[in-house]
Amino acid sequence: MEFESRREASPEAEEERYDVFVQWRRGKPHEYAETINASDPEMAFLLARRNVDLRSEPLSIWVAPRSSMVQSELGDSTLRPSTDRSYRSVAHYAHGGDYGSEEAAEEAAEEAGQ
Amino acid sequence: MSLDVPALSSEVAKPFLLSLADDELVMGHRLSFWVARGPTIEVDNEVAAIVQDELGHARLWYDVVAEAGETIEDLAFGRPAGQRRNTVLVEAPMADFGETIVRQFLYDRAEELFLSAIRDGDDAELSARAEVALREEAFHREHADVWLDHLSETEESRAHLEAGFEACLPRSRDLFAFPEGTSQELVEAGVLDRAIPTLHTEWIEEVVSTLSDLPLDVPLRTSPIENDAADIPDALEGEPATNGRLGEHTDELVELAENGFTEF
Repeated sequence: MEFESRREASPEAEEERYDVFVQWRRGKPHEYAETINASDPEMAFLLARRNVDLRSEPLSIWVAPRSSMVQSELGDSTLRPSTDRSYRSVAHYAHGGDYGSEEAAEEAAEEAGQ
Repeated sequence: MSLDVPALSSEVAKPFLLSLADDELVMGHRLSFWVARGPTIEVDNEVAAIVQDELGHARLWYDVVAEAGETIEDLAFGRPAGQRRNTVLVEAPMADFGETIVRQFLYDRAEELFLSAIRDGDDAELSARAEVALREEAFHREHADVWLDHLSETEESRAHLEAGFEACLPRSRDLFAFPEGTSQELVEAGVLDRAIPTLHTEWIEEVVSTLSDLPLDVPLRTSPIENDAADIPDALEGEPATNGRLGEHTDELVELAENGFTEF
């Protein structure tokens, strides 16, 4: 069809974002590869397979509408431990076992995080 | 390195394989119009992948028929329109996405049949090349199916497909209209495993069957049925007005050949 612009050809309302996940090697996990705009899963799958690098011989490709994925929000505090557990790391004791000192705990936590 | 292609000793083998190569070259060139012009970037990439396939297939056949001192480029870009043997179906510049999908559907189905007949033929080199090309045809088939299906969904897009069929069906009449005697000689030489009229019948069956599954109004008959036996859709099987297989072409191809495929 002749379109005056690409935008007219694919109004956002009718397209959805599909995230594409590719498994490159046996035994390895599917990795996020790209996001495809498509009108439905069938079209998303067709386009996904011609938009990933086929020369690298992917083993398997998944597409899923982004809207179907439940996602955490950025800075979600429930994704962090609620109490100080730095005593669980060896680094904590490397500082002379200064157990209880906030400074030491912070330092240890920082090192453990690296 | 010279190839061992016994089937090429047949006089009709080279013109026939050149027909296939010319089909692929012109189709690939015309399709490349959509690169960076498709509905979305994703579609651009998808079409670009098919362009590469078609041009790659053109190389396969030009390479096999090139004689000593002749390059693929000489054959692809250096021949005047009158020496070219591609179907007129692929000649017009692309302008409408719906028409493009229809053209791809009609063309790729025919190409797949030619390739399968070569793969199942007796010449090992030709068969191996057809096998390589066929691996990509499955994707072209899916591309046409998915798009025909999707463009059948709205009234506006159906109108584009219907107009596409109206424009493309008459131009597809030369797809199988090779010169007298070509078919039999190709089968005897082992280039094809079955006759061209058989491939033509298979193609008509596929086209009619696909059309019957789509909610489109595409008249396959241009004249009234005279008797019960005449159930062959004449929109598909009539005499071609311009037969590319005989070197007859539209001005659009003449222009393309003159500018050496440098313009759309």
